[in-house]
Amino acid sequence: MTVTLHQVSLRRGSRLVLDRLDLAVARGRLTCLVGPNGSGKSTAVKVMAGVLAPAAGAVLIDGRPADEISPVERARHIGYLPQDFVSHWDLTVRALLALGMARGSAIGWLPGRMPDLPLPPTVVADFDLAPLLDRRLSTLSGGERARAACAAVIAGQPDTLLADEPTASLDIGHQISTMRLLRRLAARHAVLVVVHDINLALRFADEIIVLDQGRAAFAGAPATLADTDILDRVFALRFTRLAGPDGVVLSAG
Amino acid sequence: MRAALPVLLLVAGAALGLALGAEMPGPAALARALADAGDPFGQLVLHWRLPRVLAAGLVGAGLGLAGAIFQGVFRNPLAEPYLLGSAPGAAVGAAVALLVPLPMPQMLSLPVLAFAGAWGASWAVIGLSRLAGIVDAAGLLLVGIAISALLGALRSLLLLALSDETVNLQSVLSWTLGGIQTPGWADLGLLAALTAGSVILALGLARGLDLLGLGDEVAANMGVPVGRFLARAVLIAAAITAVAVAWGGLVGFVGLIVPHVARWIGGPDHRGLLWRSAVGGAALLMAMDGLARAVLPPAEIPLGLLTAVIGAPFFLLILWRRGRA
Repeated sequence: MTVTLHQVSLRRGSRLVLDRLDLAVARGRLTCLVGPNGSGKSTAVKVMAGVLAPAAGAVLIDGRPADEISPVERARHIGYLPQDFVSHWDLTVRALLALGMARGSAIGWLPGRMPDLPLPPTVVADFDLAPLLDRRLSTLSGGERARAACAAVIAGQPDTLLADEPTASLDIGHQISTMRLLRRLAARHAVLVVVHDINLALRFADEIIVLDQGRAAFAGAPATLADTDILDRVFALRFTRLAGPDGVVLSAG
Repeated sequence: MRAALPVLLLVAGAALGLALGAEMPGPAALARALADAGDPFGQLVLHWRLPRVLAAGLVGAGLGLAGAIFQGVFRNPLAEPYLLGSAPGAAVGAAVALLVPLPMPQMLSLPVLAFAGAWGASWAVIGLSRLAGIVDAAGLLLVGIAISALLGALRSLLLLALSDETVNLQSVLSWTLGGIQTPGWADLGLLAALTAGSVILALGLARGLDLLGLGDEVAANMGVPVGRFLARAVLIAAAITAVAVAWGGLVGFVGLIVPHVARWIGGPDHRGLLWRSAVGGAALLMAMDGLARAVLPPAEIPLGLLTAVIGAPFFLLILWRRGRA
């Protein structure tokens, strides 16, 4: 299972947000997407997720153009967790997961019987949701809500998970546990995560893609990236490279 | 207990509807009247009150459903058929059907034109909000209020311009204030069939409405064709509104109150919510229609006035709760 952006361009007004971008995520790898604000990270993820249509270029799912695949089938392949996930209705975690499990089933005109499947135990366990199942979303902490949201996206077993800054509103402890979890998920799914914290990416990613003005400035292994001056150029900063327990740690200054 | 509650509500609503009026039998007298068709009061109840109570229930069910769909599809707790232009649009269509001689029976032209008005007005509100770049809940309601005012003026103009001696202006006017007429059995059968269809089509929207609550982007990613689904939901809600308006006139606020209470009682999942809204709307309107007959006998208070008296403070209560949240 591979999702590929091939020479994708997209304009917002007069600004070229994505500029002939090539990008691929594949199963078995945790790919981190980094880059400055406005470099096109969220837009690239939305195009992959099928939420935005590219102006030029193609989205390929296992080599097939995505626009030849129905939205319903596409939903089975690609799960998308937006940056600002909010449920308008105050659902219980159980109801949210049940909705997530219905991913990719068509909505007919007549009420169909929803199969009353048990919640996937691996998802409940992975995200440590068992004690929260009957709680309403409004009663959860930010970290718990983020876990429930991610679990809902993965509950329907999409091959690919695209997560836009899932660590953004979390404290450092939850950031690390979320990244560990995404790493575990990457064993079974293709996982692409947008992160702002370069060090989280360096520590957990199998592959890092650096976006700069809508183009990929780098795609490769974290250790390779740390050896180059690409991040310094893209962020217009001088990073000091420190030796950490899990590899190189960057300090901006 | 959970399953018994809707049945209890319906029975209570129907009992109130049957008992209230210029003549008010006690429970024993009511039971006797229902059991003995030869009883003169039984005749009154069976042939005069019962069809009207059933019609009130069916209209109420439609208003509850339409409100739940509009609130769900716009993710707007203040959405309802009246504030979004759908019911005022239906009323314009219905006024044309009532006032203009058309080459089809009124039993048919009334719901058809009411539907055309409801659907057109809903899309006018949606289209104008989009043109204006409005994305928030309050903005959509403001557009709805503006369109509703325009349609109300148009309706009054139609009444003034088109009514003559052949049309009983009094009856048309009282219809615009909301009120259930006692229907014939065939008419009631048609209303029942349309309401049953409404329930089925509305329940078909349940999962899509649930998913839309997660945001357009997540819903799209989960496989909901968001634009097409919105069009379908508006079509169904407008049709349900049209049926309710064609048979009940302009009865406001039921579509606002009932889904809210249903959500407080049973949570926001739409499959249950739509059911509870239909049942709650039916029970509420049967009782309210009885009250409309009972308050100032032998005169009747227009049903729409009565629901507004209860509904407007409820609307303010919702605003107040939101303001404090």
